[in-house]
Amino acid sequence: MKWLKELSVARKFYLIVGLIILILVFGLVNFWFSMRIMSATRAYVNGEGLWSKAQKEAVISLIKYTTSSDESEYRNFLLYLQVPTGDMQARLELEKTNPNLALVRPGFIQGVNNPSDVNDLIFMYRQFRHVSYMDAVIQIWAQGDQKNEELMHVAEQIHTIVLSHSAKRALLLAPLVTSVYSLDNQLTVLENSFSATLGEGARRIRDILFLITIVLTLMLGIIAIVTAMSIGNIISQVDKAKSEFVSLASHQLRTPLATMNWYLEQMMNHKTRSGKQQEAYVEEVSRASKRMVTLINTLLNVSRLELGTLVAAPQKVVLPEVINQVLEDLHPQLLGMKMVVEREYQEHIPPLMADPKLLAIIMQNILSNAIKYNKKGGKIIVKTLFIKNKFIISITDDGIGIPKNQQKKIFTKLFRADNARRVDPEGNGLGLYIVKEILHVTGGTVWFTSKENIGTTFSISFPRGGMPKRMGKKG
Amino acid sequence: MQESKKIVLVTEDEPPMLQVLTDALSESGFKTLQAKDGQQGLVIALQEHPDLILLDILMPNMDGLTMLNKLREDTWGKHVPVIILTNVSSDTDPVIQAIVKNQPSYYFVKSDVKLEMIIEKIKHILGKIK
Repeated sequence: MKWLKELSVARKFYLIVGLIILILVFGLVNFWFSMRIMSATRAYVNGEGLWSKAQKEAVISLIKYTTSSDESEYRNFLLYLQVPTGDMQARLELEKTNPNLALVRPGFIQGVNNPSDVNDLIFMYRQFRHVSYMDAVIQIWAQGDQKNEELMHVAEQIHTIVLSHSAKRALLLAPLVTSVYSLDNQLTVLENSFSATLGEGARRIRDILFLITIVLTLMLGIIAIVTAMSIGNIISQVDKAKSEFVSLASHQLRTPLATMNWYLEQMMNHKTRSGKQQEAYVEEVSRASKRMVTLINTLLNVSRLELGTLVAAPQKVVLPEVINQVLEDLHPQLLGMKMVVEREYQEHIPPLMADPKLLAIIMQNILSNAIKYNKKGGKIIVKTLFIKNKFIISITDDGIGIPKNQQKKIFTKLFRADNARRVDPEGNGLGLYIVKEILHVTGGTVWFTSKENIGTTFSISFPRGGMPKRMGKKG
Repeated sequence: MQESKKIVLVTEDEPPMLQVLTDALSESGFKTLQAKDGQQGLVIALQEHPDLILLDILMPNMDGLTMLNKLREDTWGKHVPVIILTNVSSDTDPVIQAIVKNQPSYYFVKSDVKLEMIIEKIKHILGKIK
């Protein structure tokens, strides 16, 4: 989950908004689905009602026919049975692997279902055919159709007997009428079972959809809370960074400032000074002033890195030139520590696409560490290589090294190793942090090996393409 | 009767600061001793017994407060006046506590004080102790 932390503020926001949209879409789909299912269930309940009524009316007509012998009653019987027959036609067609909907629809219409319900009836059948309760319901339906066929069969026998005008008519009809009643009872049981099962299934679906809705609402709620906390966190982080910056800046600037003030005070009081002494004093003021500029630039770079507004303007640079320039700038420190620098620049290195200012900052930080955390007369070896399509710069010193148990934290912002603190208590702990962050955003890498009191080697690498162009806001 | 010059020990790790303090003190008629860290400062103080010590807080090898505590353990060191020069901010509380605990001591914030004010204070302190 570390990548989550390393996302920029903007990306975190898109992620959160994306999640919210996803959940809303999911919720809408859930809603549509629920409505469809509930609507289809109602259509089936409706359809069952019409089926049962028609079946009962058919039986009533048939019984009347057995006593009245009125052919119109027989015709009514046949008409009423058309309703369940229509439904059966639809059912049989839907059972096929590729049902022809042009045959299904008229079936349901014949079943007296409302035309606008037909789509829902088809949807439910096709999507949920094998779901437990739908399956049970369809089995019952099939049994009902079976009973209707038997009823039809009995009715035909009755019809034949009535039409024959036989004298033994009553005797012959009696067992058939008993059959009719028996079938009617069986059909009643099936019709009730159909309703009960459909009702149970509908209730279960309602509960499931209710559960889904609650879960979605909870998820949305949790995301909302997490978002709010996140935003609060970000705001307090930014605040903390700002006040850290102000605190750091004012603390660190006080020393060169005090130096400048005191030298100026000396120059301004009325004691006569030699030209040489005045010159020396002016020199110190100038140095202190430069230190403040450097410090402010360092702090601004840190700020830019944290806000993601660092600008990189790569151009073709000749690595040895950049490094030599930095060493030149560090000459006073090298002299003061009486240090020796060995350069091993590989010949024929192609130019590197890099922002010279950023590259200089990186080199300056590492080299000044190599000088500062060392003894007098120490040695620094600087190498540049182009190998396996990568640029490598390495700086080796024989200084105080980094203690093993502190090596993991060396690139952390404001971190100072204990032995470094003893050498320079006032270092700001930002140098290596800046190096790592600049390389991170410009496509390079940095690593090191070190042994306490023996020395340290820092290595930097860039891919063949060097630094990409990076537009940031002016910050 | 000619008074011998008073001796001030300046303990400060920043060379330009050490230099300008020393210059200003010499020009005001004091003899000066220099130390670049707490360790050196302690040694010179116990050896030379200066009349007053200017003490920086943040120094390598041994910081100012540690040196002050060790100084006060010595019979002579217990009474020598010390002026602490600090940058305040994060080191306010331990500094204030140390000052209260380790009398006689005073303090200035480097960037907020003029050299002449420091020298005034030194003259004032040494004037009281005759």
